[in-house]
Amino acid sequence: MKRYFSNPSFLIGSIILFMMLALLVISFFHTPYDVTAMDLANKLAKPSQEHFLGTDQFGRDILSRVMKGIEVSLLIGFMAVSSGLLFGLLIGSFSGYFGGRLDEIIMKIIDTLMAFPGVLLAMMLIAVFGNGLLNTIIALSVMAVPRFARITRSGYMELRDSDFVKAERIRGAGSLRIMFSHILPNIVSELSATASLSFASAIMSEAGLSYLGLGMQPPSPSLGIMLSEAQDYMLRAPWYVLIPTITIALLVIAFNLIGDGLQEMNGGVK
Amino acid sequence: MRYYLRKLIGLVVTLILVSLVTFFVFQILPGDPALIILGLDADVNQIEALNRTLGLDRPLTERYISWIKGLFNGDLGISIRYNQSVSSLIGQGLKVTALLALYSMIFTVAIGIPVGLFLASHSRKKYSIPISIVSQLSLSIPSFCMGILLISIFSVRLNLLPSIGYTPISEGFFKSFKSLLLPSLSIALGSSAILIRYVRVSVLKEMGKDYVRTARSKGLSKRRIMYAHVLKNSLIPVITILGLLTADILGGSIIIENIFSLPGIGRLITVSISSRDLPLIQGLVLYLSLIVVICNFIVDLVYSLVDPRIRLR
Repeated sequence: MKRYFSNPSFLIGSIILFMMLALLVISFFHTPYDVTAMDLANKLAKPSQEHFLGTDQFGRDILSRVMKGIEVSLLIGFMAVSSGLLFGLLIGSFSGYFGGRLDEIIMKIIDTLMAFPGVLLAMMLIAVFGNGLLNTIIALSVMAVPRFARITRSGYMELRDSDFVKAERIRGAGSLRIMFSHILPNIVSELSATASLSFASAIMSEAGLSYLGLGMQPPSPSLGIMLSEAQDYMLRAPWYVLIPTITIALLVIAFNLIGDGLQEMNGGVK
Repeated sequence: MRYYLRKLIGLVVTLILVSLVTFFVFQILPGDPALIILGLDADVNQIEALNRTLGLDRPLTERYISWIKGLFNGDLGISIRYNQSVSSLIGQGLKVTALLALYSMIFTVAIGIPVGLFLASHSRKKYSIPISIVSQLSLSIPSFCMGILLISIFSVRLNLLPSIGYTPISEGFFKSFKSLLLPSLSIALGSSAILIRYVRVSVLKEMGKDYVRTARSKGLSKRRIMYAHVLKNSLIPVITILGLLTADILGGSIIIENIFSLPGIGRLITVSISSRDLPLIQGLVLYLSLIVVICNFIVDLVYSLVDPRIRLR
């Protein structure tokens, strides 16, 4: 554990993430105001004692909305990354361990998916299935699968002919046993670094999609929606737009730093 | 020659797969597309007419083939929302997006390579730490957050640059450049940070090689070793990154164009998805991914010209 926290990237990332998680946990039990409670007499109020981060164009408390927004971001990020990891791991491990024709076909499909730049793949799926929480999660996890599949595959290809795997094979262990209880533990560290980086990009993409009106829908307190609403009031209430911007950036920075730290500790500079 | 042939076949296969994905993903659209477009209260004749104009009454494979044929003739159908040909809409959007991508690429290289070199040659000095922190930050901040931050600083606070909108190049180069300066910087700051990392690592790797030691023992100056020997070799792997960054920059421009209200491809995509304009979405997705695939192909070619060893692998 000490080894982890002596890495500056990992340490700073963890501190930011811890603060965000603290806000998340508090938001389960208590937010200063109801996230949808409007107070039109008090709209676009500056940060003050009553409203710590001010109010938005409907007089809703920005701090409360940001707290719930963090919840939305982390929930979607977590769901998208874990399902992306699960499918990527399955695809990559079979493809890398068995190789051959199957591997070629699967990798061609993965390469094809990777040819769609950035959020375009997610946008395409949203165009087909429509927006909302579940579809956003599905779209983002499809976006995350290729990365995990690739990493897993290269790990399995490297290890499938190594001595300890051969030894297991001679002892009569079955393929599934070798794949998941012997090879998998060796690539966990690499996968966790990738998971952290994918978490960052999932949060970023969710915010981006919601900003464009293609992800979560108002009045849901997604940080991306707040950003797009706040942009209209940039001149009147410059702090309003900065709050969701900085929150998104902090979340993304935290996961990127943790991922970088893990990668550095795995012994490779990317 | 065999290398090029193999690459070419790979390119064609990828292109076909990309077009298949783009085409068939939209066939699993739940419900009747015509009904979705026209709304639930549309009458039967209207739906039938739309189905005919969209070609939805024909079998799937036939539609795919005619769509691909259309791609070569520059005819990807008519946009429902704009009632204009998809290709001409894409053409108009591409003018803006290409310019944005070009500026972003120029900034990326102009920032990334010198800073990367600097960090590599001053790896143990104190002023390299602040630069590393800044580059780590700009790597982590999403480009649209960067866009908002830049607008708040340069447009709202300092009132130096326009916050939104696009001025075409026909109204003067400088004006047009000004309207794209913040958007391209928002993209470039992030992607240059990626480039910085790669340049730094690649230069450091090269500096540890034997020929550098030989050059040093011959008495060459550090500067000369750097620019006459190391630079050339260490930039080879960087070419690959530039290819990957092209995809990044195009992907980034989708959101950035919306933040800065630029009438490019990214904005068209958003509008087409929110209005469920199928022919336009399909055309746009296809175009963008084709550009990325072809860019990667070109990068592979350039790479093999610079470093012929790759052809043997």
